[in-house]
Amino acid sequence: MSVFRQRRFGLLLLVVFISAMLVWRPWGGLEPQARGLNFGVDIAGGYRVVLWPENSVTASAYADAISKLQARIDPYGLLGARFRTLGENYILCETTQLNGRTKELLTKQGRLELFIGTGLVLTDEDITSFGAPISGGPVYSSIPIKYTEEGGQKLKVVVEATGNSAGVVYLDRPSDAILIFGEGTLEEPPQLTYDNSTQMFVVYSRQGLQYTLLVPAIGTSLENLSPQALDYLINQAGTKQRVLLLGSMENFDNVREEIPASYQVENISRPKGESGDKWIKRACGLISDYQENEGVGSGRIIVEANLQDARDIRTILSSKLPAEISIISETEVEASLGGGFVREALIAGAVALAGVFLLIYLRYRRWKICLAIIGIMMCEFVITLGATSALSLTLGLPELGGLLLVIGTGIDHQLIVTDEMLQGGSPQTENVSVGWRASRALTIVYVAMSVIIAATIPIALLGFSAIRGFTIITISGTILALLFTRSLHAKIIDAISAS
Amino acid sequence: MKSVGHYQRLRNRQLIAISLVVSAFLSASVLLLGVPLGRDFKGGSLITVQGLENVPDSSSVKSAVESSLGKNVDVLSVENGFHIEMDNLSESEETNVKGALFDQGIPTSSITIEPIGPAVSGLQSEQMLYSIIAAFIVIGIITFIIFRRRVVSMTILLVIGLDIICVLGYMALFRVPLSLTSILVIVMLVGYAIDTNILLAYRVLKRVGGEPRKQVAASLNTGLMMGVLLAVVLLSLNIITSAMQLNVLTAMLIFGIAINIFNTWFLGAGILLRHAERQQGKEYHVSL
Repeated sequence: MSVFRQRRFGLLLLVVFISAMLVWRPWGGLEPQARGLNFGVDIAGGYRVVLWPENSVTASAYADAISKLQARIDPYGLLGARFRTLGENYILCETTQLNGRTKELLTKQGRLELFIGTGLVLTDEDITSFGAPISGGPVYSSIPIKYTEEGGQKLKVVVEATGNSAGVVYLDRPSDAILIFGEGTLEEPPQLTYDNSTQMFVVYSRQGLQYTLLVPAIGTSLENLSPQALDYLINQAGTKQRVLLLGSMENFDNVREEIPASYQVENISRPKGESGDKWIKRACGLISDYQENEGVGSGRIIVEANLQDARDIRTILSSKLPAEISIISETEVEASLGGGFVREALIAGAVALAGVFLLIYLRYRRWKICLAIIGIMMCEFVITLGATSALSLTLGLPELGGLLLVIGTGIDHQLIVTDEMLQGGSPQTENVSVGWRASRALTIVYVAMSVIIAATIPIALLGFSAIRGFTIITISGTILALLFTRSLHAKIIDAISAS
Repeated sequence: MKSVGHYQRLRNRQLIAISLVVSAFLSASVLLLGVPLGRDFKGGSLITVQGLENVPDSSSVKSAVESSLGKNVDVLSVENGFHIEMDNLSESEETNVKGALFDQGIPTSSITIEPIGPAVSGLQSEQMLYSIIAAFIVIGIITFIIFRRRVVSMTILLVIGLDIICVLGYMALFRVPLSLTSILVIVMLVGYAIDTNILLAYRVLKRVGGEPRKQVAASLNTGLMMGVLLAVVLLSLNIITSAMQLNVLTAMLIFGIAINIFNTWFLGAGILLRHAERQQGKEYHVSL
C-alpha cells in the first residue's frame, strides 16, 4: 500500500492542518497573519515600566518585591516579562502587554482587611493561604481562605461577642485618602447612599446587609470646590495624604486647583459598563461583603467578580508586596532583535532550507529523499508552532532556541534513519531485512529523543523562568515529532528505497 | 572518504589524545582568562534619552556611543528617544557618553544615567546550575538503563561536559560575555550532543557483525552530515539576520557543534572502541 494512503500519513496531515489553524486562527479574519502566536518583547517589542516602591524598603524587601511582581505578571516564566532593579529605588519591568489588568497586578500591594461592623477583626497576617477561586456564576466567585490559629480564634471571639458575623473585606483600602465625588455621582447607584454625618458611603447590599464604606468621602460641585469640601480637606490635612477623584482628571479641572497642596491628587476613572456602586466600592478597595451563612464560617471570601478577576485578586493577595508601588513611567520599546527580525528570519529560513536540500541531494542523489526530509521538517515546524499557540507560550529568543533545537534534532534523526535504511548503519547491510534496519534506526532515534526529553524536564522544573519556554517547546516539539513523524519518515524512506 | 580511511587508521589512544589536547587548551583558557559576565548576570547602566523633538537615527547613536566608550552597547528606540544599555559606566565614561550624545544633537537635560540590576539573580544562577547537574544525572541514569554499561554513561557525560567547557573556553578566548543567550546555547548543545553520542554508542555497542572500528567509521559520515546540516541552518541565520543576540547564539552554537563532532568522534569513539575491542578480546578467549 502506498505510504500516502496509510492512516499514519492522514493523521500527520490532520495534525499539521490543526496546528496551522491554531497558528493562523482564520476565524479572526482571513488575512495571512499568525494570530495564534504571541511574540515576546525580543521580537515584537513591548513596554518598559518604571516602578517605585513608595516606602523605603530594605534590599531584601526590594528583591522580595521583584520576585512577587514576577509571580504576579509571569508566574511560570512563559510570557517573557522581565524585572530588574533600576538605580537605587526603582524597578524596571519589561512586558509585552500593559493594560489595566497588568497595571493593577503591578501596583496593588495586597493588603487585606476584614471588618465586622466598623471594627477591624483580621488582616492578611491572620490568613495562611488563599485557595484557587471557584466560579459562582458570571458575577460572583469565591476564594477559599485558611486562617491562622490565632486569626480563627480572634474571629470567633468577635462573632461571639457581637453576635454578628456579617462583615466586609477590603483589598488595599485607601486609608490615607479622601474620596471626592462630583454632583450627580450618586444619582445612578441604587445600593449606595451618602451619610453626611459620618462623611462616608453606606451600602445596602443584595442580602439586605447594611454597612459603611470605611473611606472618608466628600461631595463637591464640578465648577469649584465646595466650601464644606475645602474645610474638610483642610481639617484632615495632617492625617490624610491623598485625594482620590471619582472620575477623569478633566472633569475635576476647576476643583483640582483648589485642593490644598499637601495632598497628592489621583483619579479613579470609571470603565465603560461599570455600575456606579461597583465603581465607588472599587475606589474604596471593597472586594467582598458577606452574611453569616457565607464567608467567615465557610472559610471563603465571596467576591463580586468573574473567575478571571477573582484569580487576579487571589494572585495579588498571595503575593503581597512589601510596600505600595507606583508607576513612575511607561515607555513603549521596539523589539530588541530589531524591527525587521521576522522578515529576516523568514529569508534565513528559506536560504537554510535550500542549503539543506542541496546537501541532502549531494549525499543521496535522490530528490525524493530530499523532499521527504524537507517535508517532514516543515511538518515538525508547523506542529511545534501549533503547540506553542495551543500552550499560549510567548515566542521570544529562548523559545526560538527551543524551536531551533526541535528542528535541528529532527534533521539529525531523519539522517540517522535514512542512513541506516539506505546505506546500512551496519557493514553487513545486505544480510538484514529493511524492516530490521528501520526498527534499529528508530530505536536509536527513540532513545535519543527520550534522553533529550528526560534531560530537559529537570531544567524545566528547576531552572529559572527565563528559559522555561525553551524547555517546554523542546519537550512538546520532541514528543509530537516522536508521535507523528519519525516512524512515518522511516516508512517513506522504505517506500522510496523499494521504488 | 579518504579522511574516513585516515580516521580508521588512528589508534584509540591517538583518537582520545587529539580531543583531550583541544579540550585541555580550551579548559586552560577558561581557567586563565575566565569567562566574562554579561549584563544579564552582573547588571550594567541604562541611559534614558527622552523628550526629544528630533530623534536621531538609532544606528548613528549606537556607533557614536560605542566609539566614545570602546565597548558594545544596545540601543532601543522608545517614544521620542532611546534606551541605551551597556556595562557599568565610570564617571569619566559617563562624561564621554554625554559628550557623544550631545554631538548627535541630544541635549544633556534629556539624558539620565542609572545603574541597572542583573536579569538573573544569584538564586536563579544557582537554580540553573542545579538544573544542569540534575539533567546530567538523568542522562547518566537513562543511558545506563539503556546500554547497561557504566562506560557508556560516563563517556556520554564526559563528552557533553567537555563540550560545555570548550564552549566556555571559546567565550573566554573571544571575550563573549556569559548571558541568557549563552546559557541557551549550552542547553541546546546538550540536546545535539545527546543525538550524536547515542548514535555512536548504538553503532559501537549494539552492532550486528563487523568490526566496531568500521561501524564507527560508517557512522562518522552520518555524524558529520548531521553537524554540517545544522551548521548550514545556523550559518544562514547568522549571516542574514542582523540581531546581535541571534548572531552570538548561532556563532557559539556553530563552534559548539564543531567541538561536539570532535569530542564525540574522537574522544567518545576512542573510549567506546577501546571498551568494545576489549570485550571482543574477552569473548574470543572465552570461545577458545
